Amino acid sequence: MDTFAEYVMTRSARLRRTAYVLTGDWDTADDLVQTALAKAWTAWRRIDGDPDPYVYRILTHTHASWWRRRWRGEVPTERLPETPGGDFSAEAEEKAAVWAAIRELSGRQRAVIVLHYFEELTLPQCAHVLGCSLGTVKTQLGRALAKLRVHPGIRSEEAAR
Amino acid sequence: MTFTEDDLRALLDERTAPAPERATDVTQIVRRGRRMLMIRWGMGAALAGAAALVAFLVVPGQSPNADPIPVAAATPSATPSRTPERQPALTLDGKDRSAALASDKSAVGYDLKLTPKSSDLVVRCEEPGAWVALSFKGGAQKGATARCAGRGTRFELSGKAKSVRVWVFPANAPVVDRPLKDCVLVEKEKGLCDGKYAAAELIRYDVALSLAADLGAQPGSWSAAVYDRP
Repeated sequence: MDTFAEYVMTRSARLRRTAYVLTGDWDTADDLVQTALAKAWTAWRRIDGDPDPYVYRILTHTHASWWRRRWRGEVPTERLPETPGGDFSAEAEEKAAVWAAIRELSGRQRAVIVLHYFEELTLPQCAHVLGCSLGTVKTQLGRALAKLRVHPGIRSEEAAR
Repeated sequence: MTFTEDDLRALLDERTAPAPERATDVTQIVRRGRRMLMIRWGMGAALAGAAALVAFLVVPGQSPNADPIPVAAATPSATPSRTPERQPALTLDGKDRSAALASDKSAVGYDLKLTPKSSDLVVRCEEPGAWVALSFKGGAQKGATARCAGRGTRFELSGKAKSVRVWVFPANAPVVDRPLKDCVLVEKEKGLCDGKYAAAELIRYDVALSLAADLGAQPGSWSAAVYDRP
């Protein structure tokens, strides 16, 4: 098995999950991962060392370009999983609100959130993957967290309680 | 509840945990990658063609009749250079050269125009043993593959084809000189024999292009020339 096939077999499941957080939709996530891996394949021989940063860069950049083209407008809203009896706890409501808020972040902000909190990359590593400065990453992260904490959706639910 | 960073981590894990099972098809990904390369090459060729046309129109003192050698149409990324020192001989056994090209790179292919009088094609490679593959358009002449000899490899032309695509691949390209019927593992559609490209299958455009995509443009200059009967 060549190194590319090996990489795909071992990493695609994780990449799909990352792509899902970025896109919020499994079908789009699959398409995003396929596109990113196909792009990576075209340059595979030129990649030195760990391919992860390169693949993540393609993944986030491709998602950003789709996001700019308003691809997100075509993605159907995924229904929240139903709990037995259909009753949501306050915590579940809050999680749902934060999840919805994540999906309303800009492509770059969502990428920072995903790389830092889901992929557990350090901020300098995030900057390397995204091809921007550490300062930009910190700014985007700060704005994203601010939005997640004071998002209208969250605030209204807190007020209702 | 105030959301902390740990809550955020937990939420991301929780939301992605029930991932629907779906097998990842590496073949499909590679096929998609190849399509991307082909599109990139197509755009490169179009730009090269446009640039050549602009140069042709703006260089003073050139007219459509000034160049006696028809220029080969380039398809893949690199543009064939036609520097004088690389040009093949003007005559061959009393036959005049009617078309020629030279390339700085191998693992690329270019078209040469043929005439009804075209009788010989000579390919010279910097790297002895490089693979040469020819495929013809128009007419019934079958393609050919051969190892490039030190002083050049000569092919006979039937005079019926309208053009020939010349591919040159590095000597160490994953190519086996074995017919498909002698292979243990045959992938006829891809022209593969035991995981390598069968030399005889390189006359197929899709197979040659696939090998070129696998290799990317490689170092290794070569030239090709067509000679016409008087």
